[in-house]
Amino acid sequence: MARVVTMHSYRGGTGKSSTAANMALLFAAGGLRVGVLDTDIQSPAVDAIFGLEPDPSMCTFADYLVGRCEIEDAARPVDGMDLFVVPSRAGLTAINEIMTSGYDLGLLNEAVLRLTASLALDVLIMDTHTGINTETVTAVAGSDAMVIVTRAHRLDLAGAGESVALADRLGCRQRIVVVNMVPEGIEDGDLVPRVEQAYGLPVAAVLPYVPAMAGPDGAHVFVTADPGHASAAGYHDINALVMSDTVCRLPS
Amino acid sequence: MTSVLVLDDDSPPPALRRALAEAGVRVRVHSPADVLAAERIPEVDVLLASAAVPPNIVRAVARRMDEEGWRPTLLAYTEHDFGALEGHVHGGADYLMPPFLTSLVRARLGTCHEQAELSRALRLAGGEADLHRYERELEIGREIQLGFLPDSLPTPAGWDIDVRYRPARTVAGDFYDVFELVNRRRLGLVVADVCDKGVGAALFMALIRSLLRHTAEHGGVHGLKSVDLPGDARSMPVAGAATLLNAVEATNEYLTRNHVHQGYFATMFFAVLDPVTGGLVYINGGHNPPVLIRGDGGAPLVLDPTGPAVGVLRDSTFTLGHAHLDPGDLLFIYTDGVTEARDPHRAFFGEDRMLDVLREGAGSGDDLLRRVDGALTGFVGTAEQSDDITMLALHRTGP
Repeated sequence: MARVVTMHSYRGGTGKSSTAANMALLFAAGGLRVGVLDTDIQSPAVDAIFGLEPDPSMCTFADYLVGRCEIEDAARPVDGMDLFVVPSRAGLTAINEIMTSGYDLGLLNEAVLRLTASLALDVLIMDTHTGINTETVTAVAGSDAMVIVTRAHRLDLAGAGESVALADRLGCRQRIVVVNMVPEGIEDGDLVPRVEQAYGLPVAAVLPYVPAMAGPDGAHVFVTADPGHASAAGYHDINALVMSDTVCRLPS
Repeated sequence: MTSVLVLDDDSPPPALRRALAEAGVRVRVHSPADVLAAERIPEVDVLLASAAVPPNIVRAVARRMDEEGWRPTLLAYTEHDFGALEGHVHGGADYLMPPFLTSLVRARLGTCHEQAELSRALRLAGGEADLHRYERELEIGREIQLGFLPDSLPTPAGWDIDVRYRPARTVAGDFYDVFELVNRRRLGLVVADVCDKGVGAALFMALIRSLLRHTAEHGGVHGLKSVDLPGDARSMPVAGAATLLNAVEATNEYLTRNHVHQGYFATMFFAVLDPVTGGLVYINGGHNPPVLIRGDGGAPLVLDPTGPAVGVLRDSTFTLGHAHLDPGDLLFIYTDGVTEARDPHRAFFGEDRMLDVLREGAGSGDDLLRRVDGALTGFVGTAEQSDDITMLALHRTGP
């Protein structure tokens, strides 16, 4: 049975998609069969992170939702690995249709089931649009783990309560908090207690701000190419918790 | 023989009485008061009224006879006061004056009799024309109603769908529908029974069928409230479930908001099938529980109501039921016209008899419907079909 993981962030730009991509690479490098389903129809990112060329003739998640193709046809293998990426959309046609006519929410759940079965996945990571929306709620409800990616900024932390309440309401027991893009000079000792207080959860990883990722040529997928990178250990920790049966909680 | 009713408060003149007796007609003499008070009036061809009876009284008596269906010809007579005839003649009556010779009286009465018969024949023809017009209208209604049933049934590979539809009258309150949903990934199946029979039920059938189908096909993005996420925290929406709930809830809301005073509602079984997996999600709104017959001979499963009839109460709660059809399984959906069919002694066919037929095994859907139909026909015998009958068999034939 595949482990299903949903990425979530209360605000945008926290590095949710990059984290998902690096987690996926690490899982695949560890010999697991991994899928990444980009449900962020509004602002897709995963395909670009993996360097997949946009191709309007290819099937995507949005095309599947509007009935233009089957979800299995949307999975694109990443060279040399048991890693499959399902782009959310290519071009605007499908999103126009979704915005005007909508789609059946049950198809998201069905996509998860069909992808994990047809690709024999061990792990499926779902990237989502920022904040709380239909896709996120549905994805979280069907997930084994929810990875909350936040920055250290107080505006990000302000949404902590909502993110946890969402997981509570939807019965997703394993919530993993990752503090990402932490600027140089902020000590973990100052940061971590504040984040843990905000979320009521232990912080699984603190990942530093990487200027190289922020530039126009920023490479978001690096953990396997640069295993010694400062962030690599953090991704390992996140993945271990994703696969763990021990639920993250603060020591009482 | 010509029947003549002489309307006179006194006795008619002897010459007229003698002529009537010799003319070979049937004669009765009554006062206007007697006629108006009579409970029943025997056949009258000619109303022979004394000119002394005021014309409006004669007309009142004639109307009374019209009500009985006689339409007599009015004939006024006088022996002396010829001026009194004028009022009657202006009112459309013919007249008779002395001398009252038998041959003349017979001839006049004969003419009046023919006129009365002609008048009755015309009225009968008019009534038949009305009846014909109503029947034609009803026939148009029947044709239009048939247009509210699907022309053909979309049938995915590995599935068979068979239907029997027999209205008790020209038009019916039952209906069924089969249509594709969720970009052809699901199949919607509806069997419903609008309360009552005939034209009223048929009008509401058209409304309810259209509301259900249109809402199901054009639901758009479905509210999260309708997919019933937790309580059971990991219960996930299945494709088609939100469509189903929205369609039934919206139809219930519309009916109870706009038509509650008319007192029409419908029981319905609305299911959404995943043809690939055999998964079925359904709402049974107060409808006779469909029977899921197992291809492997296992015990049949009845799909009990998951909510009340649609159109009765605003804010009714409808929940989703789930079932699964394996290869060989058959779902039998029907209306109460089956179980409530009566034999000539007014006994019901009943659920037990129906289940006995179903337990004989499925075979094909068409076979099953034919067997139930045969059992029904044998049971009902010469009795009149009392309610609309609809049966739908959904058979999973392949893997």
